[in-house]
Amino acid sequence: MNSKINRIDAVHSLGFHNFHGPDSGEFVFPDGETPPSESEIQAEVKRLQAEYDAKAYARARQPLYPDIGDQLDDLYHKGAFSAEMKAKIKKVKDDNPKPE
Amino acid sequence: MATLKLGSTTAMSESSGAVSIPSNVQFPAGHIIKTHKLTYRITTTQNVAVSSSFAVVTYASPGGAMEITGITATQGNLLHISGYGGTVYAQEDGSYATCIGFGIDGEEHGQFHGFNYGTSTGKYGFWNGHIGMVYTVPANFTNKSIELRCKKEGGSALHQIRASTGVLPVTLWMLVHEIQQ
Repeated sequence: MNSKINRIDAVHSLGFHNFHGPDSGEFVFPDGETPPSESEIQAEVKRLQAEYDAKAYARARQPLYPDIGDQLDDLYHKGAFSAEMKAKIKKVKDDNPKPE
Repeated sequence: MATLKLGSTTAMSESSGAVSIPSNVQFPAGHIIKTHKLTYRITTTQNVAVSSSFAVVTYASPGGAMEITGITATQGNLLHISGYGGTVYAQEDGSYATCIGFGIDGEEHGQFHGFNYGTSTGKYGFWNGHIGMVYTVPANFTNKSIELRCKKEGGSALHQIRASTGVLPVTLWMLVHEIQQ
């Protein structure tokens, strides 16, 4: 998904999977298919953008977590997350809180 | 105005110091005798959705349809057709390919197929959209169109062709050379 939601993302999200045309222009749909209205497309753009923006915390956390291999190695050796690994993960979460 | 004739046929003519060769003079094999081109310079991100029909790639302004019209060529000559229609993109699709190619007088000529093995969230495929091909001119090739086209093989995943961040500003182009045989 793009960081800036566009009309193509919105039309696709509305369940149309076989259309072509430029994002800022007119789309062509297969014969017999009723295309979404522009207001439906714009409403879906708005909804998807809000959904994307609300996940900013998760995207911020993702590259900061310890390497997956390190986490698994830690699990293998300790049988559970060590206090040190737990602390690293918790710090990422605390530094990037999930909005209430 | 002066003319140089071989027998009764004009081989060269001169007007106001400019010398020209008339179109009925045949060049040796291998010479490019005609060119057609199309360019669009795109400065802000544009994405174009791709369907399962092999449709002409069409960008919004300042782009347009990737199509050259009015091409007339001589039977038996070669057309060297090339172009860049943008970056090919497939989102989370491990089942269906994206294809770009040319439409020549309504006939489909697939040239490139990108396939993305990843289906999980965040698995995207990006491919360079430069393509080229050689076409032997058939009879009656008069006032024809050559287009750059794109399609997805099928399925419900999102496929696009793009002129977007990372490559901007970008020049989309098509070039057709007619080569004497």
